[in-house]
Amino acid sequence: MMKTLRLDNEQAENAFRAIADDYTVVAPKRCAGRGRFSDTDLTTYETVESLGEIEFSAKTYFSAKSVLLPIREVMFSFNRGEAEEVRTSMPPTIVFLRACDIHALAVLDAMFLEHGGREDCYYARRRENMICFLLECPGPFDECFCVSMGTSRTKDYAVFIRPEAEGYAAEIMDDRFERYFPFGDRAHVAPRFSEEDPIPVALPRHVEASLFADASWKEYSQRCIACGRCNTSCPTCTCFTVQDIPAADDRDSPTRQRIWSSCQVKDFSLLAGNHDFRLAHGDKMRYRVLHKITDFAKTFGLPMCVGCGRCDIVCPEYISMRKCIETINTICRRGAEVG
Amino acid sequence: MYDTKAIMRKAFRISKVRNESAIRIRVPGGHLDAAHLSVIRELAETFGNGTVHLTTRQGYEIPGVKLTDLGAISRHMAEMIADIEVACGVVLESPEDGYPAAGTRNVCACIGNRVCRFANFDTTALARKIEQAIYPNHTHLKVAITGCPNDCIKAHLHDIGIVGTVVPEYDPSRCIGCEACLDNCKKKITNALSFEDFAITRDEDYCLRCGECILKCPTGAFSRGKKLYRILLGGRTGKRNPRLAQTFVENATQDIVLGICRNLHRFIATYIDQSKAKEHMGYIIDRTGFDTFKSFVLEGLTLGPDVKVVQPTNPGYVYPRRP
Repeated sequence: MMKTLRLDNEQAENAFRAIADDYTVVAPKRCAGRGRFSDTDLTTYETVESLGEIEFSAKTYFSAKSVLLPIREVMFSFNRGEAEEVRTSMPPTIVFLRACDIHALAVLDAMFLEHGGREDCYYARRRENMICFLLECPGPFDECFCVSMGTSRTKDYAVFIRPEAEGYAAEIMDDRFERYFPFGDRAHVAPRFSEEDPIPVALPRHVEASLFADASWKEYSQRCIACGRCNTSCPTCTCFTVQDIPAADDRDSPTRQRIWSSCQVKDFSLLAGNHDFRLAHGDKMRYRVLHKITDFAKTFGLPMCVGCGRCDIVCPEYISMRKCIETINTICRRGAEVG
Repeated sequence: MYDTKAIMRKAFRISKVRNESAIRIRVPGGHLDAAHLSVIRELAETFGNGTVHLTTRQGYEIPGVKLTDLGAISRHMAEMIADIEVACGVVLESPEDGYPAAGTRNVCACIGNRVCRFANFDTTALARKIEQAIYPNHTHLKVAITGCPNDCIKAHLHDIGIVGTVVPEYDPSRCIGCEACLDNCKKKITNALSFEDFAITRDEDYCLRCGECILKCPTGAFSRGKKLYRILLGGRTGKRNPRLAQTFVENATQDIVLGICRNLHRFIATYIDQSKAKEHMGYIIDRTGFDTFKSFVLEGLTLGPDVKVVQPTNPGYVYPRRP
């Protein structure tokens, strides 16, 4: 049974505290002084203890994917030649997500739970203990294109909470959470979703390999610095490397860790024999963008990009995903005209 | 007819043109409310020749004014100069008489972290605090502040240069081993980073604390720790013996920076050679020796365990004197 209600600040904080007693809560938080540049803040996902700590109105720099995919995850430990699987368990965890980021979970699930007919046990253990609370989007941020990507709306959340001029409004979709809200007035509460993208985007239906030769990628090679921020902030980039890392005090007992990687940084596509097939930054970028908008969909049936716009926001060179998709569309149209 | 020394002590210039002067306006930190520009324009158009010069020390100089107008000019600009100085915490007792001193020069600063991505702190704010610590004063002293070790303001050419630094904090659990920090440090800075066992180590002995590793990191594994300052000493231009400043204090807090600035004039007043028109601080230190300078300017300051005091050794470039 869905329940909707309005709460004053004290009621809302009490409800939140009771929830936080039973669950770890991860939500957007404005972290003072943690920004890259001096005296700037970083809005990112952090564990929070109260509703007041949550940043409801700004988009986070990083996505919440590290809840499910830690930047470094220990998979095995080796003790003098004996390997042991590390079974890290995540306590039941609530994550406050916007609609696009909830859709991003479908991309992660496709990769880690469905692909190849085998679950990734490390991901699965975390995923089953994760619960989504919705953050609404009364309007798009400048860089959003979720409406174009079909990720602007969702019903896939347990609870929706919105701060209001006085107190909070809440919608409880998941019965497990009703008991935390034994008060408040029943009221009409529904989350608002972004209705229109500032700049709509249309994905190309089909991309010819001849696109690779287009001069645009050379231009991007001049602009892109291959820093990888587009990957590390993306809610659906999941590439990792696997490394055996010795313990500081015992070099014979390493742990095997999987560690985030990025298709933009050096040596990502380095192969045995010192072959590297994507050295130019524009080529790396083309690989990323096509993977996001066409290649992933060929295998999994849904685009990898959810239109959250983070790659635009974090790019120090002001390279825009939307603009790049537009460029690809132009190249495709030109190709079609030429035949 | 005119007391040239009294005029110059008020920061007006004695021009090469007979009976002419130029107005000079201090802009501590080189950052100004745009509203003041209308006053600067009025001064130039009413009293000067309609032009304004941007000085080497980030102030304004309005040429072509008459020496007979200096009283009227002082009254006209009183409110503006009082406002600019009050923003630094300096209260001018009678701004309608113009500036009370000119020896201690305008405190220069790069644009700092209000705009620049490399800057490690708000240089304008510190420039204003230093203005309060050293002005008004008749002794010749030049101080400049720069937001990072790139030293765009050329703090290395000042008696005292303040360089903003940051302690990079490294969280290996966030590091993806892309080595962007390392490659940059190796190529552009001091190669202070190394990568072993899939983690970065930073060699404190070589790290300049410029903060570029923080700027390069795509995951925030490097983040901003304490803001600390490098105090440079002994830089100067001048005819005989120009010299680049060298590190005097490493890892200073802002309190130490301000404490040292407050102590400078006492050292100068004690040891200055009165027979010279305006002996610069660097030449005074050359005479007294570094240890005397050090004991004067560090007096009353608590340095803390991380603070290092170093003796600059650069003799500078000497134009030989004919024997």
